[in-house]
Amino acid sequence: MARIEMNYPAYGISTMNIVMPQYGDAGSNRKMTKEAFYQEKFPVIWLFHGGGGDCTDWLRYTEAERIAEENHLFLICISVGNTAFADMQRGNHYASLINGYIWDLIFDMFPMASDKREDNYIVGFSMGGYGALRNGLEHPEKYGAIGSFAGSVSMVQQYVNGGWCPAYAGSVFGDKTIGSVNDTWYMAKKAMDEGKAPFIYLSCGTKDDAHYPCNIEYRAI
Amino acid sequence: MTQNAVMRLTLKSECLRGETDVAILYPVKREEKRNFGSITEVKLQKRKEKLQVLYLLHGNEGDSLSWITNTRLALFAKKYPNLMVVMPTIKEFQSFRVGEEEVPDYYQYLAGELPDYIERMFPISQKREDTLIAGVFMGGYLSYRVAMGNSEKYGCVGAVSSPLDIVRDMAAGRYTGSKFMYSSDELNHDLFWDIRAMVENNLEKGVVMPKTFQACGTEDIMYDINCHMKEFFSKRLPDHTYVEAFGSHNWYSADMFLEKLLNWLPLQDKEEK
Repeated sequence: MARIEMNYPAYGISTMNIVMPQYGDAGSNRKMTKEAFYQEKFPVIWLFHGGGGDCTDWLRYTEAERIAEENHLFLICISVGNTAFADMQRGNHYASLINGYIWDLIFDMFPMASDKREDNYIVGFSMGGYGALRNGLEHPEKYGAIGSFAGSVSMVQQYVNGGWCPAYAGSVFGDKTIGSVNDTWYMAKKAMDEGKAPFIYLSCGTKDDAHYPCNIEYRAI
Repeated sequence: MTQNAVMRLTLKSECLRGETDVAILYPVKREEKRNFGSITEVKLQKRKEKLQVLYLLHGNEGDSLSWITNTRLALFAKKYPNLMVVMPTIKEFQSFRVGEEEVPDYYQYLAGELPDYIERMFPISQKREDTLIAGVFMGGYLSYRVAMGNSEKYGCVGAVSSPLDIVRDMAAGRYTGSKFMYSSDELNHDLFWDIRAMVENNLEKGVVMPKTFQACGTEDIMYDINCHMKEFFSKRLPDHTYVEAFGSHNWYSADMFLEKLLNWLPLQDKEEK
């Protein structure tokens, strides 16, 4: 498997980890020729880290790389700090960056990565789960499916109800809360009303007191 | 404006029988909006042409990041929005022999496996004139070997402070401790080792060779070797460029010659700064 650690110019210099298919990664590769392996473009999984994490989390704590090897996938892990992958009201606009500049950059750099909707999946853990829902629901034309693992699906609602530090969450969401693009509930309902509901995979541990109740509620939509 | 993304790529290599790493400078051309000096919005400028690629090799005891940590490469590279620089790690310069031995084969890795993967995964031109290779110290010698042995692939080759005449270099006794190296007598006229023999062989067969660049400091321990090779090249190769300046066998000179090398290479869309 080929791995890339990258420092790239964004708002200042940012870091990103990428896993990239290489012929011979998995034993199953031997069943096909090298030419056949590289014939078709590879699907892309966008992996979002949780609060306090960074672009190394998914590679360090999970089997993501092995799974990518067996399934011939690109993994794109981005670092955004504790910004919930949103356009911060007082700070950097990460959602715009990811869906504009970084999206263009990745497909400019890697012609073998497929930019088709059905080949792009957006997935996150905890805060990143919120980020995946927020960005996936905002850009259904880009992402074929959304995955949220123990996602903070109700971040905006919790912020409005005083569940997050006002100084921190305020700088992220500001007055763009309920009923805005930051509201994962509103965006999901809107997509369903319009008959354009994307495929969403929600998962949460039953002992995860902080995330389980809101995930159960969210599933009910 | 062009800025570079710096990548540390780890990949598997069959030639090297394991994982190895490669540093890459990738040009990112972008437009940005600023508010009081802070970037508020960035947009990628799409490129029309495929990238030129420069394989840049370090010397003995270095690694993939040597060029970035020892020279102003990253600064110079900002001038060239259409250039990707690929810097592989090379261990055991003495081990790149051709044969059945169970040793890492850096020659095959550089001549075949690495460019093959890089060309598949990155948007780079596979035209001969856009494929360039150069190196410092032993990396320069290896660049010449790879380029002269694969003339159809490389448009230009450069060497900075390099023992281009490996036979003379071996005879000078600089690698006596190596288990892998042949003696200088064995190397003479060997098509796998001797640059002179490779050039003569190419001439005999009518092979079109890459354009060549050679730079050496006048205080360099390999200055004599370079003078001899300059004489040889200027007789055999019409497109040979030789540069010398006051300097020794170190990265200060390499940094100085790197700028000259980049100016010499046929790089597109130079941005004046």
